[in-house]
Amino acid sequence: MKIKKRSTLEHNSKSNQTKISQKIPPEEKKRYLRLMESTNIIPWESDAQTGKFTYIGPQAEKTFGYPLKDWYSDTFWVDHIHPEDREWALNYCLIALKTKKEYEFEYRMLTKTGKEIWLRDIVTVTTNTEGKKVLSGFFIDITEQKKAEDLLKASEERFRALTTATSDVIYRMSPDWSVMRELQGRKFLADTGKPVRNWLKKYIPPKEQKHVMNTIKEAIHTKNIFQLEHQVKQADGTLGWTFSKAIPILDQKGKVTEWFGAASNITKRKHAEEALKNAITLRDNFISVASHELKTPVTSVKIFTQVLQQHSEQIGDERAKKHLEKMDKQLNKLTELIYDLLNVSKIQAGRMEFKEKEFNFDDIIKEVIDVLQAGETKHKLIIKGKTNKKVYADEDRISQVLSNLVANAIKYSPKADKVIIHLSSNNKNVSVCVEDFGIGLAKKHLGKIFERFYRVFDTTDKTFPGLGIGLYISSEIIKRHHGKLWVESNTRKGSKFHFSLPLKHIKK
Amino acid sequence: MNKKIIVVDDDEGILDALEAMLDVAGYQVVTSLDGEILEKLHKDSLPDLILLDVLLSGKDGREICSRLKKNKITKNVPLIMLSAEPTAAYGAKQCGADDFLAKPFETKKLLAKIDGHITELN
Repeated sequence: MKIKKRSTLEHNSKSNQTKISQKIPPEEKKRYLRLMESTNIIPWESDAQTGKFTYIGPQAEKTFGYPLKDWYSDTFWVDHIHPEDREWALNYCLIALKTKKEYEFEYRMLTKTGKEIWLRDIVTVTTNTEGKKVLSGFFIDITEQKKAEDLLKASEERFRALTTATSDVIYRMSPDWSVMRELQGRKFLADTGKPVRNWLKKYIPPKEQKHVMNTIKEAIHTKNIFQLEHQVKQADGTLGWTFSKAIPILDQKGKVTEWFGAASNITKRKHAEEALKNAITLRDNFISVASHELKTPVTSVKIFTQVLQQHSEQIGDERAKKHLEKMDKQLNKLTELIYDLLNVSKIQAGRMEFKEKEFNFDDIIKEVIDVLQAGETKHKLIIKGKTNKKVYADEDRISQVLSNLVANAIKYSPKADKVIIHLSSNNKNVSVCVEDFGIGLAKKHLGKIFERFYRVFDTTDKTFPGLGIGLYISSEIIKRHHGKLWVESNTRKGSKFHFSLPLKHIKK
Repeated sequence: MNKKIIVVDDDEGILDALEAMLDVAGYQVVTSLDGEILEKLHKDSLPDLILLDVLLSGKDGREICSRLKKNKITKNVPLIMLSAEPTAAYGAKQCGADDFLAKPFETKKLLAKIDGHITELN
């Protein structure tokens, strides 16, 4: 608020007899006074020599909490200036008094309760009829304004600190992104000090421009954060990668005034990711080729073994036949290991294929168990219960899971003589539980046994052979069928491995 | 007379083993590393069955199979494809093979397949 006309006022209280101005008619003075009293602007008058108030606007009582009469004590003003402001405010007044007719300054006074009030004090110096210097003025309470200013200043300070401390590129764009107003490149990107229009060409490689612009258009349309990982022309001219994020700055009407962005240099990370991806592809291809190459000699050896087996049978050499049977079993193990290796690399690369079709669940379970039983002399494999359901799944993979669970059950119960396969179903799932009566699993292993390459090593348990990928593959297969695979186990009592498959996948 | 089987595989170890197996089982065996023999078949030299590897070095077993199955003279000869890649079963079916078996396999299983196809034809 600007106050152009500075005027002296006369207070009509009995305690104040000073007549300051004779020129203004009393009626108008009263009206003016009333007007002032209805605002937050507190008028005052004082003796320039002593600083003692000769008049104070009645609003002062409400603002500062002191009774009005206190204001007329000799050193009220000086006493109630904030101690930190007292000295300079007083000095400022003394100097201004000598050199100026009008002046204004800002300082703090304390209220009765000790609260700080920021005041803008607008002062006029006049001389009264007796030749004495008289001060008149207004207090304007600017506490709220000061608070807001302080907050703004602190936030600006923080913002400046942030933009200085960050290693990110900082940039500002016009509302429609046609103009880049500023970019601090941090040696990663070239700086832009003055607004430029050709920023797209300057920073974004041609093949990325369309992608970047589409994302920007989307952000402008939704007034939402712009966020993108893209390639960028680095300050040294080479191509790099950045993760860039910009937020729209809105005015009070919600109109975008500017986009403020930060972009981090992710070039190293991207290159590392690419190298890793290439290494993984290379590894998977290698495993794929290697396992294929391994299968060829195994096929050949297996055929010869079986030919010899037949031959020894024909000539009645029972010992040779037995040995060859054992050899054949080992070849089957070798084949399984090769398949496991291939399966893991396929799962890792997300390339494991599933051929789903509808099949009778109980029939397949029986088929798998029959085959396993044929090669098993010690353990009796007992199927209990029925599902009576058809499921839509990859028959071979589900068979693989069951084989794996049963093979484990046999392997980890060397002293037991049976494994029970429980079948059950409800209207949502079919469930299988493979129960063994073997060494069981300690609690600490339970959560980890479905992890890749995890093997149970225990000081008390003897270790068992394997790559530690069978359960990992099984759990991935069940996951891909939207089913569940879990385990219950007690050390020395045995384990129960469960899996369930949802029926809702059935396609008619 | 013994039934004649042509075996094509680019691996000598496999050819040796299959030859031994089929020989013991009483078949007359002709082996080939590159499958060229299959290109030159005529009415009088037709085998009773063909065993063909899917991936031959430099050649695609599936293409050879397609050609044989399109040719009037050879199309009725039973053809079983073999591969170390179990997923090749689909490709084998696509190109018209009568059967497929993934390597390694049980010899009994292969012999049963061979016997089945030859018996069926007669």
